[in-house]
Amino acid sequence: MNTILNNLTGNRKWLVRDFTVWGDSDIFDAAVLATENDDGSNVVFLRELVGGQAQIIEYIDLVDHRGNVPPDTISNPEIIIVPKNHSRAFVVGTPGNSSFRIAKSPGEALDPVVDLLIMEMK
Amino acid sequence: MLKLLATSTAARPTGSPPQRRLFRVQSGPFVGRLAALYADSENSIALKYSDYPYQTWSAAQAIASDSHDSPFSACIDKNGNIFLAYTDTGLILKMRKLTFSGGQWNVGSANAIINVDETYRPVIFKDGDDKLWCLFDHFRVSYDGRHYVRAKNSTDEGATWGSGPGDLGTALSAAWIDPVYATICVSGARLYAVYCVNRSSLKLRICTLSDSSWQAESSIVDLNNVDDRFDAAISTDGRLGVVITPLSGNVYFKEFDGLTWGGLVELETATARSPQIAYSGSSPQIIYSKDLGNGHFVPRYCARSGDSFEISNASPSIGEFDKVLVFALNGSPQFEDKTSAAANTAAGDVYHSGSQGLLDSVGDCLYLGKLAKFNKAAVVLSTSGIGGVVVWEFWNGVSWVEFTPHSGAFHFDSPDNSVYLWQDLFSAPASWQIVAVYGTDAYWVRARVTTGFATNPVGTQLLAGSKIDDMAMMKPDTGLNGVSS
Repeated sequence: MNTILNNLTGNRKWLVRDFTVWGDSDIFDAAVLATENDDGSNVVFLRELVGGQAQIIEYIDLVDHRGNVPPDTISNPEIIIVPKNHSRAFVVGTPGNSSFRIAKSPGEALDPVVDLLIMEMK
Repeated sequence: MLKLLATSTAARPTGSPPQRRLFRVQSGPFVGRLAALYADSENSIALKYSDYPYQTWSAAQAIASDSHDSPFSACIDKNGNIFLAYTDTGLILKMRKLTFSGGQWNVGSANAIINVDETYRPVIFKDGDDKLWCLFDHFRVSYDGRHYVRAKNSTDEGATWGSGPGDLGTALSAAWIDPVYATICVSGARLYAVYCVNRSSLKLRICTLSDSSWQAESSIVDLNNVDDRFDAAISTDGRLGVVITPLSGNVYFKEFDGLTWGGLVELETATARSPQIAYSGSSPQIIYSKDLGNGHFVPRYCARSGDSFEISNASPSIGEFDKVLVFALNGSPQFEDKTSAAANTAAGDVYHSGSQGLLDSVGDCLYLGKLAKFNKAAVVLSTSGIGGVVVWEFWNGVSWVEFTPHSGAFHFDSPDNSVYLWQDLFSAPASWQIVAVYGTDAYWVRARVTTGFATNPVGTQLLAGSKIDDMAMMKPDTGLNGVSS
C-alpha cells in the first residue's frame, strides 16, 4: 500500500512560468546561538539575513502553469531554472522542504526572468 | 529575529568562540533542520531543534548529565549525526554520538577520549574520510602542571580514540603555564589547527590527512590577551581566515592563502568580543559583539567588499535606538531629540532642558524608536528617579496601548536596568505599528508619567541593548561542521 502511495505521490513536478528574480546572491544567513547575561543567563537564537536582499520562496506561495498551488512541503525537492532573458539566476544552497532561496548572478543589471521546474525526488 | 530558547545556570551556556554549538541538517527529509546544543545547567547539556522559519523549537532533550561546567563543542556529519565532545565532572574528556534517525537525535553512550590528568574546551570535527578529530587543552597536573594543545583522532565513529583513553595523542603545542585554546578547520586534504598559547600568541599547525603527519608550528600573530577570543574558518578555495578580538581592543582579521599570510587587518576600532567567522564562497563573513558601554553589546556584521570591509549592525533590532525623544508636557519646546546622547556613554546627558530630567511631571514621556521591532530597553541612569510612576505603551495603529514589561514594572528608580519589554521578538505584539512621532516614522515604545517624580531621573545611556556574549554561529556547508563539501 505504501509503495503504491509513494508511486502516486512521488516524482511530482510543478512548472512556474515567468518568475522574476530580484534576490541578491551575496546574502549571508547569519544564524547564531548566544548567551544574554541579564539577571541570569538566557540562551537565545538570533538569525538575520545580512549583506543584501534575500529572496526566499515558499512553495505554497507559487502557482504553477496549470494554476495549481504546490504543497507547503515538498520532499527532497530539486529546482531547475530555465532562463527567459539574458540575465542569469541560481538557487542558493540546497532547496528546503518548505522553501528555497533564489538569487540573480552578481553583476546582473536586469532582473532575471525564469521558468522554475520544481521536482519532488522521492 | 531573536528567540529565547532557555535559561541556564551554567557558567558559559553557549560556550567559547572557537567552539561549535549550532548545526544544520544537510540532506534528506529533514534538510534545513537546526539543532542547538547548550549547557542548561552546571552539569548538563541539552539539545533543541527547529525547522524553518525557526520560530518554534522543540522541547529540550537531555544529552548529558555528567558534564563539567566548562565549554563543550560538537560537530555534525553529512547524515545529520552529531558528535559531542565534553569534559565530565571527573575532568575526563568524553564523546557521545547523537545518531540522527527519523528526525530525532538518539543519544549514545559516552566514550572516553582521554582520561589522563585534566582536559578542557575540546573542539571536534569529522573530516571527509569520516575520521573524527578532537583538539583540547590538556592540563598535565600530574606531570609538569602545564597546558598543552593535543590532538587525537578516531576512525570508528568515536568508539576508540588513538590506542585508548590512556593514549595522550599528539602534542601540538609546547607546554604553557596558562590555559590554551584551539579550533580546527579542514580544507580538502589538509586539517588546520589554530590555537592560542601564552594568552597572546596565535599559532597554526597543518596536518596532511592522508598520513596524519603534522607540519611544524608557525606563528599567526601576537596580540595582548587573546585567550579564546578568536575564530577561524576555511573558504571554498582553501583560504584560512582568522578573526580576533583581543581584550586590549579592536577587531582584527588575517588570512592565509595556503602559502603565505596576508597582513593584519583592523576591521573596527572598538572593544569587542565573541568573534565568529565563516566563508560564503571566498568572502569572509564575520560576526562579533561590539561594546556599547555599560556592559551592553551589539552584534556586528562585517563582510569583504572589494578591497575593503563593510561593517553594519547584524540585527536591526539590537543596538542604538534610531530615535530617542524626551517630551515635557509643560516644556517649550515639548519635544527634544536625545538620540545621540542616549547612544553614548557620557554620564547624565539625557534629559529635557526644561525639567532637567528624563521625566518629571504627569504627562511627560520618554519615546524610544527603532525602524525594526525590538524587545529590550537598556536604561542606564546617572540619577535614579524617586517617587514617580510610569506606564509603558506601544502604538497599535489606532491608539497607545498600555502593557507591563515582561521583566516587570520599571519606574526609572534604579541606575542600570535591562527592561525586557517582551520576552523576545516573537513575543512582541503583532499589532505593534509604525507611527510618526515628532516627524519620525518608527516602532515606538513610550514611558509616560502617571505620578510625578520627587527626584527626576537623569539618563546616561538608552539602548535597544543586549549583554550578548559567547555567540556560536552556524557555519555554511563548506565542511566546517564536519560536513564534506
